[in-house]
Amino acid sequence: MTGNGQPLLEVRDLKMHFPYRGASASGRRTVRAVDGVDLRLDEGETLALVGESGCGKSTLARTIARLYRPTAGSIRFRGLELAGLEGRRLRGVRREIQMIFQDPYSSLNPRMRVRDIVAEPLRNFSETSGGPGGKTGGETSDLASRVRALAATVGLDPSALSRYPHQFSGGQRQRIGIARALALRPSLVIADEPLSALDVSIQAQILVLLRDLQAHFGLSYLFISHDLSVVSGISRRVAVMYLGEIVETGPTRAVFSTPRHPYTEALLSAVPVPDPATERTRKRIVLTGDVPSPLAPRGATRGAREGERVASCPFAPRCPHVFDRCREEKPLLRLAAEPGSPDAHLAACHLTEETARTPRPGRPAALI
Amino acid sequence: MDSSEGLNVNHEPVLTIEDLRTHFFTDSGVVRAVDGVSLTLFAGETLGIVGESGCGKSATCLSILNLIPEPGRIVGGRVQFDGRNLLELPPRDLRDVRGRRIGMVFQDPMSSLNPFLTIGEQLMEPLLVHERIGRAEARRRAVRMLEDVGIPDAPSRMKDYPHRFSGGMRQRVMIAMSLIGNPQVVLADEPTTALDATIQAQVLDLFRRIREERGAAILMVTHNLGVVAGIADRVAVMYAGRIVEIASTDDLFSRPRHPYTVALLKSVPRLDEPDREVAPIAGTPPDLAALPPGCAFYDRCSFREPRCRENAPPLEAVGEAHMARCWVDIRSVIAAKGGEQP
Repeated sequence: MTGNGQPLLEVRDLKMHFPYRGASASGRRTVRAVDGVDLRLDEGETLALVGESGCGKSTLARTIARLYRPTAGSIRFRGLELAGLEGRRLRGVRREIQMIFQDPYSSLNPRMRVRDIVAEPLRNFSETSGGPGGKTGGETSDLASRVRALAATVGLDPSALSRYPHQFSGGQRQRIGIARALALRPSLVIADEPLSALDVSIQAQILVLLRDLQAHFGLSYLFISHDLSVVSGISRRVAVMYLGEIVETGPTRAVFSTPRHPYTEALLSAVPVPDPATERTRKRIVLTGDVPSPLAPRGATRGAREGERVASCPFAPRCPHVFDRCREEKPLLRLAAEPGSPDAHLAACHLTEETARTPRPGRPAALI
Repeated sequence: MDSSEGLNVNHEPVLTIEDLRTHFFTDSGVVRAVDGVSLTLFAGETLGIVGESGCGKSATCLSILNLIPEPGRIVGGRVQFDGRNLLELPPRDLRDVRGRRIGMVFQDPMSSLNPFLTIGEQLMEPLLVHERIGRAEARRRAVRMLEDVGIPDAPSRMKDYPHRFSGGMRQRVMIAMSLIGNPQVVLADEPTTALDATIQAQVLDLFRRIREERGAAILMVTHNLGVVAGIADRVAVMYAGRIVEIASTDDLFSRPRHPYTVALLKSVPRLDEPDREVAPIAGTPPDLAALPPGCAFYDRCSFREPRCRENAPPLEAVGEAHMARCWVDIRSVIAAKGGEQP
């Protein structure tokens, strides 16, 4: 624990914009992939980030891991500002923040043996003797035993180490990716759709492994997923993204049982439940329209130029409860329910705000 | 093999698969992707086929219209449709059945739509070829079809090429294509797998409407137990190229009789029961090129007995309209342990 209640990770008003030169006559445009996100993650906890394709959840993850340099905003990790960090200091933090990717087929080098894939971060950060550039030659028994221990930790047979990634099934490959991510004993693991490419029965294996590893090493997870069923079991808190922004966040239990944003509500109602009786009787909200593209955000502003912003709710074009105010004024994340627990349940919706018993003006202090 | 008794479905079979065998002749041996599958699809019902990758569910679906790619080959069995065996039909006659009498919807609509033809041309083509109607009438029906599947501005979108449509809209176009000839049967192979949650909900809603309004029988292949729970009247569970259990959707989910079905149901996290522990199925499916002599699920089964290792169990009736391929009466095993699973 960090003591003094300081969160492990605190993200404030983070923006990640990309230039885009499309075929449009208006010329240069901006993709606002992440557009003003606040997040907090405590030591040892799991925060799930959910949303549909193009909502910006993967970009947010990669920006936090500093695979991108953010356009604006702050990323504090153990109090250290990462947003402008460069060179050696950034490298130093990198070992603390590791990623697991969706596709275990493309995220492992096919020409490397599993032993070397898992050992690579150790060599790069000269965790043991051999140092950077030590390569396969000067392998110490210390390094070899670390690699064997990592393999055992993720449930890989020692014989797996001398084989190549293509010789494994998807689930085994994901274990290799997890072993690599754990090599440097990170405190934060960002898992970007780690189960999506796997078969149902294998998903459960990896899910259980991730949970065991968290309990064992006190890991914190930022768990990105489009699958709300998976999220419901693994994360204590959840944040729902739509068009680069967080539209609702709070304890998973509260958000899933009493969603306060119409998008969350629709997303939950769209999850098929493996129970015919429930499926027959449940309330279905079938949204009209497509998942929006961050290229033409804010609904009607197709072809909007850089800097041009329309003050409306990003979900307004698809919202079944839309009213005039939604098109004129952008709702901010506000306390959506009486805080019964230390974790605030926030939603960015005018409707919720107008019906909530204690609407609080302005931006919430620090996403308590 | 009629497993529809006692079900609220029309008893008229529209499509019957008998002992289908589809094998892939690969460098590493003969992969028995479909290894003796028998199924009857009844008029107006939605039959779900579930299972994990490589279980043979898609290969079964593709075999119906003889669409198995090299190095695969249908090596045995019959597919009875409209009094004929589709597997013996001359290519010309089979083309006539494909798309017109039996519609098809695939996971990736882009690969099944012609990128060089407008949606309108593609929708009108089967009508112009197979039915004696003029362009104006074909156009009218195509527009109505697009409207039926929920494409906004249908008349103007007729002129658009497939790439102009989003993923969800493209799948709607694909569904419109599959329905334009008023088929008796629609084969849908993972039709919502590539779609986002809210778009999946839209497309599933559309399938429900198709069954209600058009009375077409739907064979839906999916890996998603939630999808079948919400859409299917009956469900077949496949494992290692065979059907291991088939039942009404209610029976399958509330009284599963095959250990694989039980394990599969316990392995999925559920939104409606966040506190329930997921229980992974240990191990991996067997190599289809070297299947064991006994039950294919033996290695991973928590109910197994010595005999299961040597002799493969047959698919047998275990209840009304309910069949399972298992030697063990797992209900009584569970009951004997006070409701606990081994």
